[in-house]
Amino acid sequence: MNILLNDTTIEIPDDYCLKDLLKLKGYRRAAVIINDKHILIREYEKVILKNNDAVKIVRISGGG
Amino acid sequence: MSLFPDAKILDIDLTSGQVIKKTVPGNIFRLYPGGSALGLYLILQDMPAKVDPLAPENMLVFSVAPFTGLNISGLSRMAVTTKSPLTGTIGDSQGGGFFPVYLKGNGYDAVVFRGKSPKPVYVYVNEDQVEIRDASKMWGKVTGDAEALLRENLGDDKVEIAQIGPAGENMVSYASIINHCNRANGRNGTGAVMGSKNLKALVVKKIINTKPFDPEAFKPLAKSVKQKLEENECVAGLGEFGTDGDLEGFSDDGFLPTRNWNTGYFPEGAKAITGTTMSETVLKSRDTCYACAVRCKRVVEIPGLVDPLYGGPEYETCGTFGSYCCINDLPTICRANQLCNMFGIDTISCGATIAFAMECYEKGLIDTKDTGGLNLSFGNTEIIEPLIRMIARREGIGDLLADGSKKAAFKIGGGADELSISVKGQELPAHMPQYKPAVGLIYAVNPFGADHQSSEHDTFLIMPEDSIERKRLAQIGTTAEYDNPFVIDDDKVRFAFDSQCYFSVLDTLCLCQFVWGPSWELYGPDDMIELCKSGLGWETSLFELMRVGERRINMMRFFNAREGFTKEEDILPERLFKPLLDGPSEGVQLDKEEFYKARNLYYSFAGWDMESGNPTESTLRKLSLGWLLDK
Repeated sequence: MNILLNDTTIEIPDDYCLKDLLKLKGYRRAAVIINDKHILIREYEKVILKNNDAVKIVRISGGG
Repeated sequence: MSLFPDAKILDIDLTSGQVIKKTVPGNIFRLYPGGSALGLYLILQDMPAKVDPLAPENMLVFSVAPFTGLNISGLSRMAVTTKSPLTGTIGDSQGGGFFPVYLKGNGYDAVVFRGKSPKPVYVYVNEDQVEIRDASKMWGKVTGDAEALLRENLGDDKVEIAQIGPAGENMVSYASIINHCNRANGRNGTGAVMGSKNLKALVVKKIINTKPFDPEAFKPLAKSVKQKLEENECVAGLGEFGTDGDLEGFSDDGFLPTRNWNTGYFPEGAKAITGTTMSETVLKSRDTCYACAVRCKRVVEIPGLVDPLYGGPEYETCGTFGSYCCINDLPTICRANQLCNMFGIDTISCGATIAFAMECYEKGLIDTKDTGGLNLSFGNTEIIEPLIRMIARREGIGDLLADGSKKAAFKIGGGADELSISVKGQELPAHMPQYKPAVGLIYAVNPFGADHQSSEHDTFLIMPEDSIERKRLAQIGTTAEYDNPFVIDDDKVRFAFDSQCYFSVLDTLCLCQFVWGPSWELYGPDDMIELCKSGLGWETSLFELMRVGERRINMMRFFNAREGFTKEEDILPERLFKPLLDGPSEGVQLDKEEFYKARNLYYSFAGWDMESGNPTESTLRKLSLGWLLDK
């Protein structure tokens, strides 16, 4: 199935959860918005992605 | 009697050896309640304009906040304020660890240094006992060795040490002050000012005695950190993967400064130097500052190459020594981080200045005759260690690079100034204004040069209205929503200014900006007010706190105005207005006309003169700073 990830269409397997997607993309420090809903970290494993979901990743940047 | 505590100041004249203990009354302290606001208040009381930053007349102030050391995450920071030898502006640098807690534990809100000792010394503070002691044996030593000698000299292990390394002794313009061998008051060359005073270290006895004003009300605030951490993906990621956790993602998006900012794309190296790779390869442990649950600090170890004593690299360090220089070798970056902590050098300015030198070399502006035979091609890992050592000792080309890229460019000539990616002489951190124009605006107008920790970043404005980040930002007046971060319009300018005032409060109250802040951090504006109330008994409001932040910024601008700075120095490097060369961000650039229009709007929001960019008399009076008009 296809999802829209930060305005780019990508193909992922069915029954893919959000945590799998973040792992696949190597995103480790980011906030996630799916179809305009902010997903909390404790929900990452429960959220199963659906065809045509619009997923927005907001990267957190800080210094040091 | 004031409702606000008095500030206790230790004032040390290193020329005469005189030590004075004095107080700032609570009603004054409330206007400048710690950090660099207190530092600025003390400096502007006494220091004339146009002082040479490395002259005895320059003042150097270490300062904390009234509640530094409370048992809650993110309350262990310290400011160092002085006139910067790197920028010629006010200098401000922030650092964390354990030292700030012990400084406050000894009973002091600030330590002021004036003058110059005739020989190398260190200052030892054990509550009322303050001694200026000989540091001849420690002079010339790297931080790890000097720490051991200082403890041996005192015959006491229960001390914490903030010190300079050889770079500070040699007055490298971006020398830092290192505590715990791995925490830095890194920016603006505060370590060089210490070196100019022959002051090797400030040593404090390990004492903790800060207690909350209202323990029952304070306890739930402190305890809530566990739940907040579980619910906050951003801060949880910080703990797990460090500040470098998403470096690879920045490259994927095309906004990781690479090849001295010619591109934002580093596909050949980003994965090798990102935080996840660090965690999987060289990470030995996660470290923490006092009482902090986040544990974002990295400790890395590579036998024979990198000693865990010196911590591990942050995102900025991986950016400047990594992608800026096209270095895709994590061990080289870890080694560079160690050398900077050993010699006491700011990793941002050092890595960025080396990247500048690499581009000068590739463009033929300098050659092997200038470099002592070193091949400064981008990506050459072999030259990083020798260059850092040469900079710290001011040897060969290291002497040229030791004053930063802007001054080096002036000496090199031939258009090298266009290759110095700096503002007011301070090199840009690894966040691209092409992607975050509000951050870029603050880079330009910030009184002490480009800084990424002086305002909130644009990216949080693309989150949904009901997210905690947006709800908190609404509390400081930011309600606009964006589809992407690239826009710079009226609302963004207001966001930049208001969030800058908020971050200025954080740097006044010495709060860690990963734990306390106006959007994604663990504790938001309501929590900060509760902290002031239960922690200190300070019945305050967001309005008063934002004024505190605005006051600090205006004091800095006033300081700079006395030195001759105007809006002519509030400019970004020309490179940012030219299209990026390749990758996903190919062709992206800042619009110059739009950007400088935004800068003018910023001045009007700040209440500054449109011609000079400096605070007006009425703005200073509004902020209770009318006394400055006589200075």
